[in-house]
Amino acid sequence: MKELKFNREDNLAFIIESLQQETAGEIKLTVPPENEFWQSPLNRQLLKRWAQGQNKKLFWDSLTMTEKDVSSSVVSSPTPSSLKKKKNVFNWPRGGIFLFFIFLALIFALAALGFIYYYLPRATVTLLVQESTITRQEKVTVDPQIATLDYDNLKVPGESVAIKNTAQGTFKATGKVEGGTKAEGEVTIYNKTKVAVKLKKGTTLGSQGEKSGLTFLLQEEVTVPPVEIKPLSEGEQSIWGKKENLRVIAAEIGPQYNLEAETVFQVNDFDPNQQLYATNPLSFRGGTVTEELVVSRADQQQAVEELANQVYAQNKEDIKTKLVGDQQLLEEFINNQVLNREFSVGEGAKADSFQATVTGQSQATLFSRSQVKKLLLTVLKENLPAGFQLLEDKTTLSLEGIDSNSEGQLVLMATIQGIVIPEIDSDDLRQKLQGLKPAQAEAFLVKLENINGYRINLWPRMPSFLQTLPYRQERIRIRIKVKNN
Amino acid sequence: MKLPWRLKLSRPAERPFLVLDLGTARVKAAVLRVKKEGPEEQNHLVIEEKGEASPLHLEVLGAAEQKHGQHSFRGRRPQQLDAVLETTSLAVEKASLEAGINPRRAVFLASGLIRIINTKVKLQRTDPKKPIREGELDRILQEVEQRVHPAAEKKAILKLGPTKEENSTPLRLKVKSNNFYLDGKSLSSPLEFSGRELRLTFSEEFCSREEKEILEELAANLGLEVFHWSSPALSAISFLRNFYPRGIIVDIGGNFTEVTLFYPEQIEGGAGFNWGSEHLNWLLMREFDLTLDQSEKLKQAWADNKLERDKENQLKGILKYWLQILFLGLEEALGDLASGQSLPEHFLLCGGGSFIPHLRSAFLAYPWNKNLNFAVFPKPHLIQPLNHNFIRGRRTRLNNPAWTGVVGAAIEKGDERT
Repeated sequence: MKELKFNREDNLAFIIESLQQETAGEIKLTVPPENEFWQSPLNRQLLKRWAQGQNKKLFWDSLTMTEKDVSSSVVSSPTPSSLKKKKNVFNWPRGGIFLFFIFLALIFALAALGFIYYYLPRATVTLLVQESTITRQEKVTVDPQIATLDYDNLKVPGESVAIKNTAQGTFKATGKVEGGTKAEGEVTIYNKTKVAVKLKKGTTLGSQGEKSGLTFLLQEEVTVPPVEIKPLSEGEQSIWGKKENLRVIAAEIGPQYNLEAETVFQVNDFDPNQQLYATNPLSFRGGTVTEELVVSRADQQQAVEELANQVYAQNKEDIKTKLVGDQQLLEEFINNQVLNREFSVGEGAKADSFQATVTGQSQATLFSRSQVKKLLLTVLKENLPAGFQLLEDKTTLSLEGIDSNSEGQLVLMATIQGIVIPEIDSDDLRQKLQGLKPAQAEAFLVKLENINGYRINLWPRMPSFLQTLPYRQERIRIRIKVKNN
Repeated sequence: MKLPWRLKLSRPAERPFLVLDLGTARVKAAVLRVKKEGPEEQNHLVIEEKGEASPLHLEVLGAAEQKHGQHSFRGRRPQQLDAVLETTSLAVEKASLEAGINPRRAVFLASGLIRIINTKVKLQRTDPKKPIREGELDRILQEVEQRVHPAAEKKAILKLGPTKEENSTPLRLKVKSNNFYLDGKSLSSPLEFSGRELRLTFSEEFCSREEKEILEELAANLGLEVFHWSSPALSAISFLRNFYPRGIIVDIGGNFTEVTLFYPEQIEGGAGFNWGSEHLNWLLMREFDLTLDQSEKLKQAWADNKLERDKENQLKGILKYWLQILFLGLEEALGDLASGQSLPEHFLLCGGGSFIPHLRSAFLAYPWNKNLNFAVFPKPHLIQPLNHNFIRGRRTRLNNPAWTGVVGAAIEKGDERT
């Protein structure tokens, strides 16, 4: 077996190199305890594994092998004198005075400790309780005639508010009427009969041909002479009686009465067989038609509706300005009505636009939400299950309007939802817990009904035989921690 | 009975503090300020409540690092305290000068300082229908502590290595109970739940009493008031948890490599071995007959691809040898830390030695699942704190993985202080 000795400055790399250079299969190592090799137990394992890989077996010098030997022979790095701290040296006085002061100090210390032990400790007892939800729904009447809450009839005072406003606006007229002029001209009436025909003023002449059916009225009385028969050498000649330049006017307005010249007219009343007829040597002119705007009833109704809506919206805003504190307005229960309506022009009058003025009134009943809540809370509290208390700050109220009447009364469906927890008498609990050991307090709390768990926090931490809950009740804080459903 | 609440005077969020990472090759000091968004920035008295942490922003006011002398440390322990004090004081001074403030309150990090011992406990309740109250849980935890602590302490003695004084016990820094299971159901806290079988993990943090005394002396001479002691690998968890649910932190230091595992509910930390980048330097110095500075320059030239092919091949041979020891050590450390469940699938490489050339590819090539329980073949990640946007101020100072522990400690303690 080969023996290798190392000094304290040799590092692991040197030790391994030395082992590598050694050809012997079994090597005994002597490494001084100050060498870095001993700074970690893993170094030895590392070296052992490395040697196994090299087919070498390592043995350790007995002086360095066991920890006991190592620890006894390790010489630590010397601490330089500059780093060493000087120890404080103080010569205590000897004799009775010294003992007296020691005794006095002990008395004071004990008194202080007693004081601290009694007054200082603080405890927070947290009780875990399960919450439950309770709901109550009631019909509540808001009555403007009462001034205080009526618990028996479930009525709350209301305030009736009426607001009047006027709105004015200009609106376009959309109604239409037709206007225009009648065509007129001159006709010549021919008479083929053997008697003179007398035509009164207003006799109708009806057009024939392409534009048949148009009626014109004769504007003067006229007598059309009969046919004149003149004997000729070869026979006889019939000369029709005629009357020229007779003024006629169309029965109705319109450009369709502007007829071309040489239109034949039938004199309806007299000659169905065309024995009497008329023609116009010149075309008729002057027939026109135009459309004109008038104010219709629908226009007026539309204007009133629009203005009324404006007035009601304004009224609603004005009512809202009357709300005080937690007063609430149910907008769907505002009563609106139109008091007065005026128009600058009457129905059917020709006009492009017109002005309308509407005065409307809105009436609403206001109520205080907190009063409704107060009323419902009272009802809820009266109906609480025994042994439970209501967490008033966790109640919620929802309101829905149902009906209103002409007297300003408003009927509401009010729903109140609250959280209830088991009732715990904190003062009584404090009294019972004061001065108890933690285990006793736990035993007491475990027996409490209605609680789901507890936690006791004590301050300050003291040895277990001294640790108690405070002897003073005011140093015990009871906290109720609600566990949500 | 455990106090359910405590009053906490919130310190001004903008109050800076120092994080000192006493590495075995370099000491790093940073003056940092942690800012929380939201109303908690205000300075007021608050009742501390459980809640989600507010978004944090880390402001780097000043940062500096200083290299130790070649013989200042032996392994991971200071050998020449005067020299260590001088370099550390210089780093603190530089960082403070840059920050314009000289904070006294500090977090002190030292590699391999802390060892976590986790003990899994299973117990049966006598009244399974009754919900677990605070009093009962406190009693259970007290009893568990009484039963578990002696064995955990013995384990800690073995894991931390031998001590100077005979019968010297390690110092316990922190106790925590977590990983609660009630009748097989995982709970963040069993309070107010009922059940029969309660399982929990009792976690204790130990450190070597004499080692801490030396570091305390050092801190006292620097005029620092240390409010938190930890190791860079453990602190880095606070930072890396934000990006990886589980991981293996490998903090490759100058003379010591520390390994820590973290899972969502559990941390297994503090295993390490004396192998680091200084050992590679030593190998290079021996091979090429160089000084320490020359070997550092050679490594740098290699990293910058400025070496000839033959030289590079020689270096590769040495690196392969160095990596062989590193990986053997890592396997031993992971075997020591493994708690039954499969190992995390991320190697998170940090520390000054983590930017040695070809380190990541070597991690990828090594058959990790041959001797260890990996469910998924692990991937190596080189951690660069600089890449994260929540760090503000002089963030470019944190330009290498060696600052990961500093950032983690700042997040961990800054979050608690605000």
